[in-house]
Amino acid sequence: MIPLWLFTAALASPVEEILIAERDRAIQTFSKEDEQVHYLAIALHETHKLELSAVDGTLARVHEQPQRILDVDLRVGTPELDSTRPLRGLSAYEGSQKKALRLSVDGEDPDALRVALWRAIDSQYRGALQRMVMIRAEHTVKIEEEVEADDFEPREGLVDTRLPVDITFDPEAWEEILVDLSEQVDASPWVFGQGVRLTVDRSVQTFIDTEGAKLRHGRTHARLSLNLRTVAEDGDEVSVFRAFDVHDPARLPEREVLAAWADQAVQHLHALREAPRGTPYTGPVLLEGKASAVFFHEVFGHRVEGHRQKREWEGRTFAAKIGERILPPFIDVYDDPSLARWGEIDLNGHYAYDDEGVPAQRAELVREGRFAGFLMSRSPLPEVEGSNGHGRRQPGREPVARMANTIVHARQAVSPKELRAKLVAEVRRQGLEYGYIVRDIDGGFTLTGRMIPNSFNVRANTTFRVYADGRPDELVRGIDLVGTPLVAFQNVVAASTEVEVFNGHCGAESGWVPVSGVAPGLLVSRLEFQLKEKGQERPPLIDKPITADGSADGGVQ
Amino acid sequence: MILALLFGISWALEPLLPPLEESLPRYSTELTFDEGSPPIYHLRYHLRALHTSTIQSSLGELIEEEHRPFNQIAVEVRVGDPDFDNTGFYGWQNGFSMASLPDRATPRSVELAAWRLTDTAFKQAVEQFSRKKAQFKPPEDHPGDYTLTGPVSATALPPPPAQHEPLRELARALSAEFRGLPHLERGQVFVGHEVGRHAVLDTEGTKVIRPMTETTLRAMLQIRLPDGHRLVNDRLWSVLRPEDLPPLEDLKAEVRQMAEELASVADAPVLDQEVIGPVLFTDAAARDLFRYLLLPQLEGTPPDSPFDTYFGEIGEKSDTVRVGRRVLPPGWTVVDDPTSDLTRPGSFTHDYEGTPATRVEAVESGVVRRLLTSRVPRKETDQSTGHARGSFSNRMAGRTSVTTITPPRQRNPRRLHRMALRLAAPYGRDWYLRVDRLVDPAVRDDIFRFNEPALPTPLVLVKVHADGREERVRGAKFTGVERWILRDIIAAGDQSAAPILLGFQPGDAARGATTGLPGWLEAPDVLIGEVEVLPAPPRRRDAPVLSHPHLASDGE
Repeated sequence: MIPLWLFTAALASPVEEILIAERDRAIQTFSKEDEQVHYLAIALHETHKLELSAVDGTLARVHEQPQRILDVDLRVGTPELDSTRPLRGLSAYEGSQKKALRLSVDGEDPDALRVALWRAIDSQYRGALQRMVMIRAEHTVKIEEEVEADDFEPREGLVDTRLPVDITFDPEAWEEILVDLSEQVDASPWVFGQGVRLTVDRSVQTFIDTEGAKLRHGRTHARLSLNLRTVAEDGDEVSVFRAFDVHDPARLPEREVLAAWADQAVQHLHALREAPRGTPYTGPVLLEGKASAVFFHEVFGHRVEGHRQKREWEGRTFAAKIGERILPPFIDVYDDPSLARWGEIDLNGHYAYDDEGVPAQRAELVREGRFAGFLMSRSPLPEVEGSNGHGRRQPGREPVARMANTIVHARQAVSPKELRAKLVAEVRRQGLEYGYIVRDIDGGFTLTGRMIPNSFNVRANTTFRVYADGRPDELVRGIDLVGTPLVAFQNVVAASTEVEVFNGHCGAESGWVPVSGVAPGLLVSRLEFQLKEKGQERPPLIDKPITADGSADGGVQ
Repeated sequence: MILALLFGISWALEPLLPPLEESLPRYSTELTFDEGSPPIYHLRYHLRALHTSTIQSSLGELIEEEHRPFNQIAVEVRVGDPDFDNTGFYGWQNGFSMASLPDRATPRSVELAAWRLTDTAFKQAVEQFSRKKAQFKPPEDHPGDYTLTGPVSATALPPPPAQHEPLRELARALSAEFRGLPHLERGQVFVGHEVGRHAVLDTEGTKVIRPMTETTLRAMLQIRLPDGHRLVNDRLWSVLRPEDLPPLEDLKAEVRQMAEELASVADAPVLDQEVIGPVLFTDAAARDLFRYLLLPQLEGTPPDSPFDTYFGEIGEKSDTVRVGRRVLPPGWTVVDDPTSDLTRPGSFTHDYEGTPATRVEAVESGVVRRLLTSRVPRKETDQSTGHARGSFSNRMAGRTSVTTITPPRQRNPRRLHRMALRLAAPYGRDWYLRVDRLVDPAVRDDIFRFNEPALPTPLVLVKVHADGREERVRGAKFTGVERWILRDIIAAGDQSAAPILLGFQPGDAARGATTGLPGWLEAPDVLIGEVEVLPAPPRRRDAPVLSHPHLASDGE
């Protein structure tokens, strides 16, 4: 068994003392300069990650990666106007001085840490000076910004230690499981490419700032994923991705469950390969739980990130809608990173403190269909209370407001069967031949700016046509849900009692962060599908070679 | 701990080859489109089975360490015929493709990888052939695209595995030498180590199994001065096996000497005037002068023809190599021989195409007589000299390996000094510049590089006065330096030799501390008649506001 404890001992007080001493030395030096530093935070991210993977029926990779990254956030000016204010026009091309610095993984040399801190702090201060010159010039030259808001919310620093539990992990046992699963899927003649991967990590963050914060906290996580790829006869590149996200590898399913899981994935890949491509469509769509969760993430979540409401180039879809009805009255939406689980399912977006030293807390976003508030980092908005603990980042980036565990709750709901019946009724009411059920998705993306259509794309993976005349449902591929947010929300008409969880990672300007979505199935009276991009290469010209025991041609039919 | 899982893995290459040997005849005949397509006339697989170590240490501590099997497969598909095929035309979907193999590669995983990769490469080769056919009309004297040579067989025994623990401790110990230095920004040691074999199999029946062993060590020290000047110094060692490295105490001494050298540069004043006149290049700077300005003129694989796209012609590169061109003064010779000493980095008996390596007398009396070639013909020759190397996802090219540059006559340092002073006199000076070391672009941490000069910035630059007094200066750059200045060599001095790293493609600089094709270069110190050196003062905005922690007690 491998214990993931590497940095627990390393986080002894000398490290913290050095961080504090260098913080104080910097503040003392800069206090003699014309431009003052009003806030300085130092974070040390320590991660111990193990990765095992198998492809083509054999062990592909074993990688143990301890990593220490130093993050410095420095603000020159005042909380009202500081060096983080977004620049407009050509000045926005000014480069960032912020870089993640990698530190040693096995040593305690104070000198190395001091030199790294000096590099990061000095470089950020000099960069901040440059920015302040440009920011002040912009205030003279350009029009006033549409939203007058301070750049930073001062707070009282918190002191707390909540180290994640030590976890153990048996790589040899898991290697066998992964190789077995990989062999199992290799038996299919239609699996052209594949990978089974397990990552286990434990991370600890030490955070100090000039407000007196001293925090040590972290998380543990394991992900087991299966990725299958094939090419359909029409050239469409078809893939199936499945994953389990848990806080502890001990909570991963048993081998027998995984074998069935892999079989089901292969069968689904085959079904998708044989399925016809869909066509552009507008009409009723039933989003099952996972698809519904991603739909809310893309359509709604990114648009209620607080910092977007004050940037001149952002679409600000919901900026002036507090109190307005945007969804049916039976829908509530909130984001709560303090939740570790939903029922028996671990939530990926769980944490104790955000990356600005603010405790994780529930943010009310929609109450009874009315817009209630934003996801807030420490970048304030007028007439909005301060941070609600959603300032997040990938190490090396600047934190901004991000989603964590986004929960959609239906005050009124019907059974899945009834929801399906409502879909069919709606299809008939609209005089259509069929409607759609979206069961699973690969992810999605959304565009929130003004220079481009303010639209979303939810990457449908498993979509069924549901015929009004009662014909059996038909699996189709090659279509994505697209639309614009306000119109899409107007058309939510009913919800299911069945709730599902989506665990994944979300990428945005502050990097990749783990997130979850929890949502019931939703019936939307009108949504749009567009064609997904399509591969242009023919399937392999020669059949996949069979395995030594000849089992490849026995695969899934 | 977890690495123990991998130590049990056999890295024997031979069991992985049968699937490739079976794939060669099958795919070269069966891969075809019903509608008709140019046939595969040559198919080659590369399979590399290595153990690699990557270590990065800073100030005596580990930043990163990885030891793993590194298995890779690559395919080269040529369709058409040797006179006109899919190669030599710009584009990245061109019939050359590469993929990683599992750490615990099995015959089945090789079989599947070959199936996927060959199918893709074949389709791309056919498309690339059509693009080339549409746009490139070969001239009458087109030498063709490839040379078939018949089978070659050679089998190298597996090299003994190396222990990585000593490398880790070495990296730690060397980087610890940088602790406590004033103005220190980065004090790092990088280790890249690989040991294993590379198999080359093709449809001509070639089966060459060649050793691939390399241990490269780079120590790098970066400081930033109070005036904002950032200075970087480095040392590179590249050997075949870890045990070929010098003893630890010698390495430490070299690293300390490097730090002292940088400290002396830091203490020097900034060059305050333009200097035009004679410049003496010595030691590492002399080797670099030839490395950057001469070696590319000897690499004879013609560049790709450009691809005319919506954005205009992309991949345009003129063939700057000429047989019969004077590249050095009369009497100079250049020999490249990968086989001359098989213990040197860059040495080999067979190149990446499986061709036996040969000694090439490339320059005679200052004029290029023969080029270093792969199996891609050029007007002057269709013979490979066995110098094909490169990255495995591209066409291989003739590259330098173990290169010796010899002047007709060598002068002692005193004589060179007098000659330099005589040359400086008409410029109104009783001193001249000597360059002992250039900055290696491979260790710079900037990502985007525009308008790279032909010759990198001088690091160790010395004003040498008539009375023998030496005065270091910093903050200078070359201007107007091109390959022609090698014809302006006035005299040569002592020979020195050292390993170098070449970029994977001709004309590319090596990027990364230990990345590149290893080579060996022996060259003399040289006095150039006229070089232009300009001041390159530090940027004031880079001056630290917060004092360095090693100097903190001075100011705060």
